[in-house]
Amino acid sequence: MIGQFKAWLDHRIGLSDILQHALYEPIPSGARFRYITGSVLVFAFITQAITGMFLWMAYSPSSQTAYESVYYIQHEMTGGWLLRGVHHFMAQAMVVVMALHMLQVVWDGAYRAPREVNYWLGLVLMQLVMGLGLTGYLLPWDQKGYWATNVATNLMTLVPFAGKEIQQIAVGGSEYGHHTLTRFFAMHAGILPALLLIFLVLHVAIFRRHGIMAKVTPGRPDDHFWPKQVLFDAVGCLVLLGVVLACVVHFDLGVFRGELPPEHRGAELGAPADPSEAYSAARPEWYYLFLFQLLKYFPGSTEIWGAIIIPGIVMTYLFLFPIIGKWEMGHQLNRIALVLLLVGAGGLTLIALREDAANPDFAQAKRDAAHDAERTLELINRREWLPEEGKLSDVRLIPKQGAVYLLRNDPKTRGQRLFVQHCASCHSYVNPADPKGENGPSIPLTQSPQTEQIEKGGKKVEIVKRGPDKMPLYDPIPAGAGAPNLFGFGSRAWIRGLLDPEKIAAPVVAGEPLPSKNPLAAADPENPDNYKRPLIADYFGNTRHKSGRMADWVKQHADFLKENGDAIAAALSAQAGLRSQTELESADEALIRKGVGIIQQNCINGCHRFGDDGQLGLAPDLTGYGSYEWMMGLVSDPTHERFYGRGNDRMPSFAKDLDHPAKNNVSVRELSLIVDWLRGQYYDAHDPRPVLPHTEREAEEIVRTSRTLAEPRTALVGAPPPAAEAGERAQAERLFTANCAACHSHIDAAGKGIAAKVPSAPNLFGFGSRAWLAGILDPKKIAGPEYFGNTRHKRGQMAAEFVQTDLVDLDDDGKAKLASIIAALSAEAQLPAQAADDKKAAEDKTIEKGRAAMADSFGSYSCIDCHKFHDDGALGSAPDLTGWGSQAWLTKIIANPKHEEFYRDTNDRMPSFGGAHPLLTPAEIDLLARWLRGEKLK
Amino acid sequence: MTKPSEPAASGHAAAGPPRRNLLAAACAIVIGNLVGLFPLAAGALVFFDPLFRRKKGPAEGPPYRRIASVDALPADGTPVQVPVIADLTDAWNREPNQPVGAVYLRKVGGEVTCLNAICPHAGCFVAYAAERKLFQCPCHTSSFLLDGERILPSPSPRDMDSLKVDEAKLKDGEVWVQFVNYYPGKEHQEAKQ
Repeated sequence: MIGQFKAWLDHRIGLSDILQHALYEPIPSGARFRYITGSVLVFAFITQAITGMFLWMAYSPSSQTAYESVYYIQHEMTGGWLLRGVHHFMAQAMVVVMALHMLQVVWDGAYRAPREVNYWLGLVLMQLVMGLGLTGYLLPWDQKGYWATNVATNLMTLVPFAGKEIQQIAVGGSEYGHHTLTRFFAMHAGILPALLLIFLVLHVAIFRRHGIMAKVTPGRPDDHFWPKQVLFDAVGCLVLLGVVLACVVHFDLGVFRGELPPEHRGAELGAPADPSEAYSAARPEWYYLFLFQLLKYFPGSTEIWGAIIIPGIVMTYLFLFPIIGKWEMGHQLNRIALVLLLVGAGGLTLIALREDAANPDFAQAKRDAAHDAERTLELINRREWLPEEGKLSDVRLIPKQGAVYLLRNDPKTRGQRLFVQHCASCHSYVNPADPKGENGPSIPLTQSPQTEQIEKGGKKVEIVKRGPDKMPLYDPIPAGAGAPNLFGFGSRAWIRGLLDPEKIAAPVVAGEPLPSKNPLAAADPENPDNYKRPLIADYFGNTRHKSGRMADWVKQHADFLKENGDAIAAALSAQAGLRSQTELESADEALIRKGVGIIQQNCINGCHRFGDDGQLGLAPDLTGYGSYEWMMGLVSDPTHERFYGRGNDRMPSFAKDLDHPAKNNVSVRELSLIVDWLRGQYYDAHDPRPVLPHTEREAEEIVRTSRTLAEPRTALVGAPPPAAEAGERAQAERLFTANCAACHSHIDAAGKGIAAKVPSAPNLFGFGSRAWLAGILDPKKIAGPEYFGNTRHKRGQMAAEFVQTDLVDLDDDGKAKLASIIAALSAEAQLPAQAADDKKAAEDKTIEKGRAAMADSFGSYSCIDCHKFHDDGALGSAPDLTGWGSQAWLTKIIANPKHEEFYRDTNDRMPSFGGAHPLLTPAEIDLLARWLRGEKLK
Repeated sequence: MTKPSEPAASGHAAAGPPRRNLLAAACAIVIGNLVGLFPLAAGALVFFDPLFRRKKGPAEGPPYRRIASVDALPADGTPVQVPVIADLTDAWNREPNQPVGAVYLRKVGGEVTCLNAICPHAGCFVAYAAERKLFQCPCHTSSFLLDGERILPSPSPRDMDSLKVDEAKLKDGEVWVQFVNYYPGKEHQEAKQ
């Protein structure tokens, strides 16, 4: 049956002839292991073609998906790492075998007539294999491949005449992007393998035409290719596969026990490519290192020699081997030349490796690269604790923006760096328990020693300057250095330290010098970098606040704080909601509640606001202190009245203008990374209840909320449950205390009511009443503390040129006129308490008289010379008196005192409580106005 | 060309004057090449597309972009690496506010200088070695002084690429820079387009 089929097939396609031709090639003097290199190369190529095609099925070439699909192959797909590992290491094995094959061909003289053409085909094949290696290196689109290939394509521009065009065609534009990948992939998986196959077929066909270049040993019997040489070839392939597999598992015997750590699984995959991210560990694949090293020796414009001319000459020379081989001694010359070339390339490779090994920067860069790669994996596999469901979420994988987006927005790695960039010139970040940063990041403020220049080996070198006692000299500690150490900001320990009279304003001190982390610098005792001394400023050390009210208060209340400091710290720290204190805080509820009470009793009187108590403008709001929302608000604009206001000491507003993000020094996204890093709000794979950082959109929304004072932003943590719904009066008083009492008092003649901490604006008790008006129109009172005493208006036109000039020593007639004006103006307010008086004044025409009198001059001015009053006068220089003190008038001036009906640019510090970014809601303003007017409240 | 075959088994002799054979051969070659080359030509158009779509930049050069504020730069002249944010077009994607490159900014006195962070040698990302107070390329070890001047002998053919800083904006406290990438490996700056 089988015999019949074979005969049938043989008749149609000549199978036995093909087999005969393929298997029974004669081998003079018999099979030898030295003949296997060619077959092994074919095996390697077939392996690459097969594994490559399977990789192709899972690979997606675009800058959004290349890294991601390779990640998926490597870490998610069954056997993916094995497939990728075999492809990766077989490629390298192919280069090694190719070098051996070539060495053998040249050594044995197999390049000479009549085999020249086949030798040349072999050289073409070599170029194709190198091209496959180069194009394949980029495809994972990780940092290493990206930056290394970048160098290669940049070198293309050195080609004379058409260099830039060649580079653009290769890259698919002038910058790396989607089309770089599609093109490289088409080359790698399509054009180059097709060419390789064509040249391989020719190479083998011509090889068969001339037969094997046999090493003839007299007496050794001839043989055929089949079966012995085939067996040898197969053994060779097996050995190669074995070596490749050993490389794939990184020679880790754990593979036999089924324990292979991820970093030993096949080929490396770095962090995703990022053109804005420096990558200092960029190196080409090892078999290109000699070319890489060669480039270092060609300075400036001679680069083309290292990049193109010398490699070109070498290739041409290799092409000329068959011709040189015809000369007498030519073959020996070729042998020597090839060995020299290989030794040269090997030597350059070794130098490159040794230079890198001796370079601490490179070692650091490798470590950084490994960390980033590891972190990328962690981030892709991030999970989130879902408190409502009481379990971990699914793995979140990669968002559409790609893996690079995850890394760019990772507070753990990027936040720290941004802190160094934007904050570390004033703030340090040093764990007091680990000042050298052995178990975590440590970012000290440092001061360099004085230096001097000396001549050393013909070069000018900067060395540390020493005093007579041989100790390094330093400048005095600069007055500006030393804002608080932000390590553990908002934590109990941090706050407890702030409340310590010894610590809060402790002067900045210099610590022991820190030796350089660069081993080369550290080895030189005169290198100034070994004498940078840390400046330790834990709290207000060198800020204006060191002699501020907070520091004074802490010093004056040392005993009180000794007793209550822990509770205050626990309560305040609870507002921050730090991930690291979650467990602690759920255990300490009683302590926190006690602390909240203490804060409410002691910290809100004229300083801080805390929840609904206290007022803003004098010291930072303690509501949500240290929380993400609070910190984003503070960092984006510390001059905002919720934080330091005008008391801000040199801290820049990093992102004040939310409507024009381009104007900000640091984007909200970056601030969010810094804040999340400081607060430990980032994905931690070892956390049983991991959290994820805030997104850019969340960050922006939260910054906006942090600046609206009207709405309660954050509920107090640990506050007692609110008492029964307080009445309108209580609410209005609270609103006044919180929003107005920084400047205005509201006290009656007996001194009862709400007193401003630092009165700087009129007392508003009885505003609108005849008594109030009589006061402001009294030359003795207008510039006193009850009225304009502490405002800019004290020396204004109203006070100086009218009341204190025209209204002094009035005659009886004048007094009567003034009284009628007071009655008329006060009637505008329509105060409930004055309703009866107003009615009487209307009946006896006092109001009418008063209105008319407003146009009468008292000497130099009349009222309507400056004010508008109903149809008389004009807007512009002073507030409109039409409806003065009425509900409508009051709500309008509270909402916007800068309105043209009121003070315009003469407004003195009064905030606009309404408007686009309201500090109070319209309902709150309405309530305040009604309360001020003494209306009946619910 | 294959050698003319013998009259085949079909029995019809391919007889006729050689001239006609020549004509047929010429036509076959022309038509064969035409149909063969057409797909190649069609493909070549697309293949060379990057050359056709090279943008002509405006005569005054690329636009100035805001990079940082003057206050944010250290007063002691230490260079700061700052990303350049712009709209990034990558073939079919256009994404606003993406990092498209990086520069080193340095404030000396009232002046702000700006250097492109890309090495003029082969395009690696130059690092700032704070300890040695110089720029150093991690690839082929080109080194540059703080003002971007290369330290000779250097693999780099030119100093680091300095970028134009808008003087008027500088007075307002903002650093606006004309961000350009230049071709590496050339003695003179040649802007990438």
